[in-house]
Amino acid sequence: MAVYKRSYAAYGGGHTPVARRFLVPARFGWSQVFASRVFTASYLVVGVVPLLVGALLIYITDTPAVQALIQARGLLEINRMWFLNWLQVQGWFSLLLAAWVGPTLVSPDLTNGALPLFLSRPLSRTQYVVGKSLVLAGLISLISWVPALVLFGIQASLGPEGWAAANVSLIPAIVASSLLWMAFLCALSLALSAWVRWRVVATGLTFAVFFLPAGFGTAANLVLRTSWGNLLNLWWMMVVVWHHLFGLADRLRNLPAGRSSEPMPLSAAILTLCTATGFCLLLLNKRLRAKEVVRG
Amino acid sequence: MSSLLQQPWTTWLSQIAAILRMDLRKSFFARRGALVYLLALAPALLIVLHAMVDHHSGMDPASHVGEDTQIMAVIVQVYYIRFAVFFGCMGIFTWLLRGEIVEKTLHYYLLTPIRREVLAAGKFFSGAIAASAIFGGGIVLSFALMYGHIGAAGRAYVFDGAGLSQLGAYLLATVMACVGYGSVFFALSLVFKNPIVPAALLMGWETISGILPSLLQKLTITYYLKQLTPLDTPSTGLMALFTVVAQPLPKAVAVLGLLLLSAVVVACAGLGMRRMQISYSVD
Repeated sequence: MAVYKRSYAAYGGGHTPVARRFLVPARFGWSQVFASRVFTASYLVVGVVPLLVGALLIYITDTPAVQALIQARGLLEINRMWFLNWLQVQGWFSLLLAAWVGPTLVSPDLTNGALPLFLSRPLSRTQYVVGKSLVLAGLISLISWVPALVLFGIQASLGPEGWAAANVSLIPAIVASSLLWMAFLCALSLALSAWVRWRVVATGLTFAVFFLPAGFGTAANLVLRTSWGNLLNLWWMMVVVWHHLFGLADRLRNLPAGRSSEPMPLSAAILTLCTATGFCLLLLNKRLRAKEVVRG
Repeated sequence: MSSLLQQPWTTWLSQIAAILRMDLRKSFFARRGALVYLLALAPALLIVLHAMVDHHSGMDPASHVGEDTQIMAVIVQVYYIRFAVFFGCMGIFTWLLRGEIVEKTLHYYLLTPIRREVLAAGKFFSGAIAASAIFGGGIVLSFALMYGHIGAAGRAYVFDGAGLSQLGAYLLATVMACVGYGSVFFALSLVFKNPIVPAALLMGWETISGILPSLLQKLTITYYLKQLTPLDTPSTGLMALFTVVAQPLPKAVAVLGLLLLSAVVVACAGLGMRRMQISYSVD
């Protein structure tokens, strides 16, 4: 058949339901991320090792015979504080994950001019962003609140009778804390990925956003004899919110956080985090457009 | 020994000088370098605010020379060495090679008749000079502002007291931090496509340096830098509980140890560069 006789026909295959379209970029994102063997191995390590360590500690704590064997009776207590500390460790791993994976999510689509191709399909900008966020959110979930709930289940079954009922409020605290951290990391990673073309720079900036303002804030606390410099420490702000969610706000008084003995107010921490997240979303909104400007 | 002397050192030195001329210009005047300048000069802004607060409080300036000395020590040891120099070096040194790769310009260097090891040395020296100058300048400015606002008591402390020797120690620690961290970042940028993630792990390693057994502490850059700082800033919180006090080293040994460590790392990077292949498409 001659080429000119070929004509374009409408796509005749099945359509993904509108409600599930955001899963398409997410699915491709996951397959891309796990194409790297180094990443897969590292992810398994940060996902499985802390879970195993946590489970082992719970087992030792709840088994008097083992405690007697290793002469560690009464050394450890599985309580709210323990879960909060475990989640904080995973929070740092989540940051590492966001810095590793985040820059690869949006940046290649923008630098290769693929965004207009995505958005010319029946996929809205919101669905695109949700789909891309889901890549990171899924990865973070599997190392944060999911294993934390597994550990909660282990402790509930091995721990003293009534432990689960007394600590049932830990479940929403674990989920809410992880979701907040996840939302912030996703917004930050996607914004940096959208604005910074080079992966190396975007990864560096993800860390810099946490450490440099925190260092400057510490210096500001010291030089200006205040504790408001902590507002620049985004991790610390999240820790303040987590302590309140876990019902451990009193403990904040005992943690060194600048010159003042008064802990950072929850409202200030929430406002700081909301401002930072909002700013990231604003940046993302400005950059993600279904158009391409070619200069020169 | 004779074969070492027969090498074309003059040619190599002139080649390093040529690389320095090009790369220093990039490091000092590139627009992206603004962030490094911001890092280096940010404490100066805080000290100006501190001076204004002190001025309005009407305190006798001479009474807080001691407190300001302690503040300066924390600014240098906590802000500069732990954060600013670390991230500044991460930016400067990883960009020396990775920057050339992402901008697709590294092949221009590799096409010139120059040994790869010489190229690595030239690149490293340019980064070390730029980082030392920028952060050293930041510390000198902060120091001048800190003691300048106190007036005669500050001048007396600097010129007739321990001030100048402290400044010298801070500058030495900063230069050594730039060389130490720089060498590691330079090598990482050669091995990894995205050297920032291992660099973050390095930061974690350096952060827990104080609680490591004394033998492992010697494998951290922080251990050597601690020996060079004139005032001790005690760790607080949980870290203080687990801190292991390692055997102190004489300053000369600390400098020599750090230089040796950096030289080995840069030499390894130079050897690694011999086998380096560029594939711009994957970066």
